[in-house]
Amino acid sequence: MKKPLLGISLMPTAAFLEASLPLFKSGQIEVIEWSFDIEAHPATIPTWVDAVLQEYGNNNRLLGHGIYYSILEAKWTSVQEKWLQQLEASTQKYNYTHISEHFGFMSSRNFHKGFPLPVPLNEATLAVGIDRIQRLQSRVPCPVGLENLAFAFREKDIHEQGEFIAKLIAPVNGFIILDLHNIYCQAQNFGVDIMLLIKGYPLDAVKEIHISGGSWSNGATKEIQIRRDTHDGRVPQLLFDILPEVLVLCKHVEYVIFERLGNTFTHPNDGIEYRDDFLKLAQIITESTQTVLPKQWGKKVTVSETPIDDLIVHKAQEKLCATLLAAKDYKDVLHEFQQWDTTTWSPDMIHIAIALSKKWNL
Amino acid sequence: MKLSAILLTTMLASTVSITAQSTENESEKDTTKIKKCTTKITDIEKSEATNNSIPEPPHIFTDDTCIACGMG
Repeated sequence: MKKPLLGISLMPTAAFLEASLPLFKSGQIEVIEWSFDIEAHPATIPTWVDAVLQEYGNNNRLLGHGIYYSILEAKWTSVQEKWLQQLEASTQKYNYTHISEHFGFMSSRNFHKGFPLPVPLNEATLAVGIDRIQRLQSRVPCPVGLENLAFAFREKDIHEQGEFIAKLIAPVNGFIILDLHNIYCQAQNFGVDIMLLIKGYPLDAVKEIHISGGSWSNGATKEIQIRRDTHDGRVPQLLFDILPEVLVLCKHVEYVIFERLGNTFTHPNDGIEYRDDFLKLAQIITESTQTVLPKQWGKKVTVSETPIDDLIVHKAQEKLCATLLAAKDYKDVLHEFQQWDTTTWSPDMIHIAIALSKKWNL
Repeated sequence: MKLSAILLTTMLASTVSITAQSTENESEKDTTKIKKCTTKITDIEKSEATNNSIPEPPHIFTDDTCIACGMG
């Protein structure tokens, strides 16, 4: 009976290589996740990265992770078609075991910019999302899945996201990446028990777990601190504490991926702390009683020639992006944007969305 | 997963070239704080050819810690 494999998200930077090399040397990195969207900027990819991807791919230990497909964007555009073509090219180059993307839609129409925003969890967005994930599945020779999103405007959505993702992946027999730090952010920001949120997910569909650190930002007022999934710090102790229980609950989980951005190793101790967190994860998996219960993933699908467009949802998405970009503070958003029942939205989360929008979209 | 010796050597060589470059830059700023490791890439390759075990990377110490692998 095999245990889940522990790996890392590979970053093409010198500092990342320095930090991770001792783990590669000791053979402890059992699987690699690669954010293949980075390939759109080939000049930034050093030769050692290609060699690592080939080696792990040849050993069926390479996972592909997308960022910019914008799976819940209500209007199909050439940007998404181009993204699929680039993914196809990457799957011909590297042997991925599976491909995943993020829940939500991108805040920018520009390719490779923006950040994922949540959507109303209703039938209209479900229809769009199913169309997009089927198109994704139809273009790759391996199972596909979705990662839960950290950001939410209101508490109701964090309780419902798991079931909604389950509906999205069902038509392709897809999987969920359960990102524990994303759920940690939600638990902290809305004052909810983290295990309550985790147990709200269809855990039989979890094939992969993500774990990382993050940081705190001011909310709408300086008294409120908002947790963000910035992948730039140490893993919170709470996530180490709950991981044994989560592993037992997710009986089909095959991979645990430790994430840290390649440009966040700025202090000599950062590499030491990175390896220390990785080794803690390795110890937890070794000591866990959980073994992987095999499950079949993926399904061949055929898609219609014309993608689904929902112009009403599209207009609302466009307006949300424009409103966030133009807003001076959260009151502007509440005043301008009422299509999605903003009465229960958190001013602090709107404040963060405005800040992110100005950071990534300008 | 154990990586091939060739791949590890490639990664190691990348680290060496990176750290050598950063040491050069750092040396221009403050030569008193950095003690260079004397291991050279040619030594590593020689060791690689004669022994299948992977040699230690050339450490570059800033104060008491190697900036490449964290070894104190």
